[in-house]
Amino acid sequence: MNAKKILAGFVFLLSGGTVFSAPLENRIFTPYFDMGVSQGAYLPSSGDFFSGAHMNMNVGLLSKITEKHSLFSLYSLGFAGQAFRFQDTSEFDSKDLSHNFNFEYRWKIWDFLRVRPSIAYGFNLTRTAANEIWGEGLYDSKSVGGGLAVDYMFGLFDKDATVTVQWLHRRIKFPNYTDIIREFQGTDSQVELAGGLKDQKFNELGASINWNKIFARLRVNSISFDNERVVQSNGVYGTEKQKDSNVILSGGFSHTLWIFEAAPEISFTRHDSNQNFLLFQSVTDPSPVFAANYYDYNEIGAAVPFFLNLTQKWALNFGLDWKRRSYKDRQPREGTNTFIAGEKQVNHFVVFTAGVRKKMNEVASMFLTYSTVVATSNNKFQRYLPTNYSGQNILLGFRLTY
Amino acid sequence: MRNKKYFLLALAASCLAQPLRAENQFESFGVKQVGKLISNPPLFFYEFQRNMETTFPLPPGKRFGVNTHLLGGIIIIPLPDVTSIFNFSAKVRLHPESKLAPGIPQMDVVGGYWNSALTSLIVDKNAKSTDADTKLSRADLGGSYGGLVFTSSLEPRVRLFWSYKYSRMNMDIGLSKPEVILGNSVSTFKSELTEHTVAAGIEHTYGENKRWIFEGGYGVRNNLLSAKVSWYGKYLELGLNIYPESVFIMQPQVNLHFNF
Repeated sequence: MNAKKILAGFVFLLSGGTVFSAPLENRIFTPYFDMGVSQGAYLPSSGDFFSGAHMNMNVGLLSKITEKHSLFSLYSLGFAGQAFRFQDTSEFDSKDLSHNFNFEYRWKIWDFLRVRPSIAYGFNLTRTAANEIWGEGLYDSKSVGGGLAVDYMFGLFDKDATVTVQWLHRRIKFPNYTDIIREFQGTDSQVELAGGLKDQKFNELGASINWNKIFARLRVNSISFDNERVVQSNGVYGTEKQKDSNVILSGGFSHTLWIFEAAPEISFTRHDSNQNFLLFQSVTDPSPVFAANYYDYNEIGAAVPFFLNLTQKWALNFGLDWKRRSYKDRQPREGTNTFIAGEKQVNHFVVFTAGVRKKMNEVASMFLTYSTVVATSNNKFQRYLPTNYSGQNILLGFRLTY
Repeated sequence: MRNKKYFLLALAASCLAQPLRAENQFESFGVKQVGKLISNPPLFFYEFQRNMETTFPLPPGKRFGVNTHLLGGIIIIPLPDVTSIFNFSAKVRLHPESKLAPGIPQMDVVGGYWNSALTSLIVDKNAKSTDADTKLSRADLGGSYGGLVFTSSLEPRVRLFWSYKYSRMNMDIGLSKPEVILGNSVSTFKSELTEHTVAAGIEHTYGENKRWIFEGGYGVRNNLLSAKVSWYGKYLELGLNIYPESVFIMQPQVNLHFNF
């Protein structure tokens, strides 16, 4: 079924661009193509060597209907293979394969104001470290939705500036997801656990400003679960539905000075959830420990990619990527899976990168980078997800944009 | 398999720190890769078929082309692979760009066939189950593909192309007696694999008969990702295929093209 959707979407998207594209000098249809591929070798401080790939491909088409009306169609293929991960997210061995289709209508009402309603459909295939077959992943999902964006364009100190306000809505379904502990214990006969437990509605309101290669962005979103309920202090799931929210603030700039090129970014995320947590020592543990507000955290991050352009084709690159997540109420755990009283869990994740980049032509470049990763946390329980580790990796890849 | 193990060990020693514990690391990696091969042998051999398949467009002004995949490989140096002897592909231009109407893309139909003659060299048709050593009693490998390629100029030296390709591969491998491989008793590998692949890429011409071609593809039936970087001269193509989820991830290529 997915195969047919991808084929149909691909043909629909590209047939417009290639079959009816106009001559170069008088183009009605403007194609967009972007692709990046990298393959890496990873050596963690504990555990086995592994290799992993990342790939993304965007194929788009801007169709100019009239001077003020246009349609932008975009197909995005994304693959994230095995890699080192930020703590408490996913395993090194997890993989994601996503397909997204987005259709956006662009209406330039005045020279300074543009509105962009859109519809979107996508699905995401996942494989955890359990190595499920593609299409049968626990976290496989499908999403459908739409959005509305308004761009206000103006001049500021002789430079173009754009303020964008955007609203997004998605309905996301997880057909394979279930809670294995609850199914095993059979305590939740009121809910059909075979599917739908993670189904959710996603709403996001965002605002951003871009000026002179400087940007600042604010996103506020909420995730309302259709079926998942909140676990109470007595260990029973109550009637209240789970609801999560995020406030994400980010900013940065890119600048080139002589042979130096840098694009630093900073971000802050506040995550809140009304969901609580039960700490089981085993699947048959009769008295799990209750932990309230287990998922609430604040996270800050900074990334400083830096390039030294030795020649027009060759550049050295150095980078620092740092994240810190501090949980509001979550206590870290001992290696024996018991909470450490009086402490709050804090994760640090630092990546140092050095490498070379070669521009092959106007549209493509290749890169070879070496990275070392240091992940630390006061959480010592890492049977399922590593929280304290270091690692090294070498990455070879290429990127092209037209 | 032994060669691969040695290669991986060499890579570990030269590229990564902590070489002393690398041997076990890479043995483990090797076992995982063997597991991929055993779990889906046709998929393993289809990688080689993907090497000989080509969905690059015919160069501008060319009506017809033939090409053959000379060398491929699982290591840095291109070597003959199972498709090298014998494979053949052809391309025919159905429509040159902008002929029927301005903007209508170039359309090429492509196709090819391979049947491995190399396997006959390692097959012992007289092998018996009572022989001391396990031998290959039969090994038939082959496949074919066909597809359409659409190409539009983005600017004078850059063309965007996209393609649909249908592929089919057959394999029939027999051992003279069952072998236990990773806990499984195996005596035959017999299967057929079909795949529908969509791909898109960019061709950048930077001189007379000199171009770089980049292509990304996705096999929708088996969730197969692929990427290819090629330098393409008048006759010679030197490429690197990247198969992120495969046993052998990066495979160098040497192909010959004759376009008329």
